[in-house]
Amino acid sequence: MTVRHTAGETTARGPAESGAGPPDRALEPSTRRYRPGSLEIFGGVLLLAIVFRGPLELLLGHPVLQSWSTVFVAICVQATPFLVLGVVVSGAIAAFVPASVFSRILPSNAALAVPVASVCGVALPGCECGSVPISNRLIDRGVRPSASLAFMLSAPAINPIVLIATAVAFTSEPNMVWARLIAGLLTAVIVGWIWERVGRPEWMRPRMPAAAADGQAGWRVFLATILGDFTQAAGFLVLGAAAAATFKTIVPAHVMESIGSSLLLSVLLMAGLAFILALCSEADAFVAAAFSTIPVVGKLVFLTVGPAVDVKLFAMQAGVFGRRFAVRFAPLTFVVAVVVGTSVGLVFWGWQ
Amino acid sequence: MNKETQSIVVTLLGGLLVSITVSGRFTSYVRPGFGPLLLIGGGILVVVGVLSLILAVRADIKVDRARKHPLAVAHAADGSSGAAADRGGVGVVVDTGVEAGGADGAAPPAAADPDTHALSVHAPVGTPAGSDAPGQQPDAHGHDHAGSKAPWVILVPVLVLLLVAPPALGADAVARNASSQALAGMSVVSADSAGSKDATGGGGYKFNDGSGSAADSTGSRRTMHFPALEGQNPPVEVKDLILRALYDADYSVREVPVTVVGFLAPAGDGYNGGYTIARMVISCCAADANPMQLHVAGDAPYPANTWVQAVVTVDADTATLDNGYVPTVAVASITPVQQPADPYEH
Repeated sequence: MTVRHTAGETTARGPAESGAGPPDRALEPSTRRYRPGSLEIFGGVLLLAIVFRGPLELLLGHPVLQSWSTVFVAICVQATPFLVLGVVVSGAIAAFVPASVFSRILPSNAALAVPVASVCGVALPGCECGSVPISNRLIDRGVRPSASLAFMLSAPAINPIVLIATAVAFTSEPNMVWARLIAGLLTAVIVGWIWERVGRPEWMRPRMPAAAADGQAGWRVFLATILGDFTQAAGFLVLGAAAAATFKTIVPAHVMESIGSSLLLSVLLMAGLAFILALCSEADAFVAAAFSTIPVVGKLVFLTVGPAVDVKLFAMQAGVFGRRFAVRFAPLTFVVAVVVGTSVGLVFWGWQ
Repeated sequence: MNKETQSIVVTLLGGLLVSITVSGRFTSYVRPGFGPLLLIGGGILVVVGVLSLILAVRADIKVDRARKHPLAVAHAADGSSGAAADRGGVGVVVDTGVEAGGADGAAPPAAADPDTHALSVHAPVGTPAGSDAPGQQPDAHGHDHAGSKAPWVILVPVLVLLLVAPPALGADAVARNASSQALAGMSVVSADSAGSKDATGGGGYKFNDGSGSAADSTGSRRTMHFPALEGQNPPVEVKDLILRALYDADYSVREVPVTVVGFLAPAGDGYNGGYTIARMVISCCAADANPMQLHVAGDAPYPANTWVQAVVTVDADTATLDNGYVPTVAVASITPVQQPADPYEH
């Protein structure tokens, strides 16, 4: 019964209901063709997958593709709980927190709002996938974009869980926790300020009128926001996971060892790796710690770039905020994170 | 993707997460500590999916009823407002024809459902035909969010998990990710630094100076201390065994047979012939996996990827820079076993 309501099925059901039939619609001929609704497509995909299960298994049974699919599924499985946490918070903001709360918390002065929002990132225990939909929701609720984006960048880098993980991974380098905290915060604040100056609203995908949600029972909005945000963000998370799994499979691990201890090279290498490996910010410290040939400044750059921008985040931002936004925001974040990470690292450890 | 399909996909994904956790298959992808998180996350998805599906179906029924009985408009308004709210979260490009469509929609169902109009991306809503009555309803009530094809992609991991169920990383990943074992997998080491000025805090990283070598200028990095091994052929993790072989100042595995569990893989770089007993080490999920390898001379008794339990003794000083610090071991006995519940070490 639900099937009937998919938009494309005008033609299929037309005759049954009015007797007048489709011809009296002022539709273009092209749109009058039968277009399957999404439930039919869904059913079709399932059916095809089951029919072609044998060949599919054979294909994915190839060792390379098997490694790829394991890593791909692992990234998806690992990130989903954190994304769920993020969309639940996002849904709660949309449904239960009036917009006035944010205007009271955040200073109206942009120069102040950005750092305050960045510091608020400490309060969100999660990783970077969850903070994208939350930031989107904050903008919906009237928080200025620069502050929301600063929050998005800082939350995954400086929350307590991530800092504890970093402390555990870097037992021999306790300063890393402080370095990471400072570099993460600075990156968020600086990007926020720059965005306040240069960012243009038209780069972002047009937003829905917020009024649409008003007057509805809170829990309905809550539920609807969770479903909508999740399906949207998870789609792009999957794309990013596929890209990261591909890099992980085709880039041999020896590459990292040959770089040795050149500071500049190692910084660039680690920044690039952070982008393409797309590790969860709660796990990246363990990985960074294992790169023993890399100077500690390079590791800090890895930990600064990773939570701020990577291939998975780029895909998610393109999906949530629009592509025109992502192609500007991601490079800006990358450059700022590399510069900040290197500078903070040099202040802490100097040239070595 | 419309509301109903979205709900079904989300329910499916949530159900899968719960089911791989309950069945224990999740340890092929993430470390066991993720279990509770996966249960909670999957559970939330199932609840959200089922509730959304019920709401969407109910809203549709009410709209249907309203179309058949135009007088029941007020009644339909309740239901469809719910449907509209359900759609609230999705970032849809609002069609410019929307206002006109809403205004035109003098027909009861359309008027009853203005929010839905606002979200519809179908051109017909805004055309003059939009006023032509109940027949227009299906389009006006369109669920498709043309702007977002993204949710479809969620089906890829769902189908891969459902139909193929990729196994834990094996021999292929060992060859692919092998790097010097003097560098890899050194995050957990005994914190006991007594008698050593080098081992501050016990982290393993300090033992490398960037040369990729397990020996420093003074000739030795054997500065770590490990808990004593007890019993005959004590079980030891592969990673633990390699750390002991490379860094243990007390030589706890020198000429001491130990029992390891791993899978077979082809011999690594720097070795001609023989085979490898390997185990992958992960810190979070399979995306950060590192292999730990023990080299064995001779022909492999079983095909690659066979899980085995073996009693081995490390040959002294066989791990060198040239072979990536993969020590050679002498095998006293080797038997195939089931893949362990957690295929990875941590």
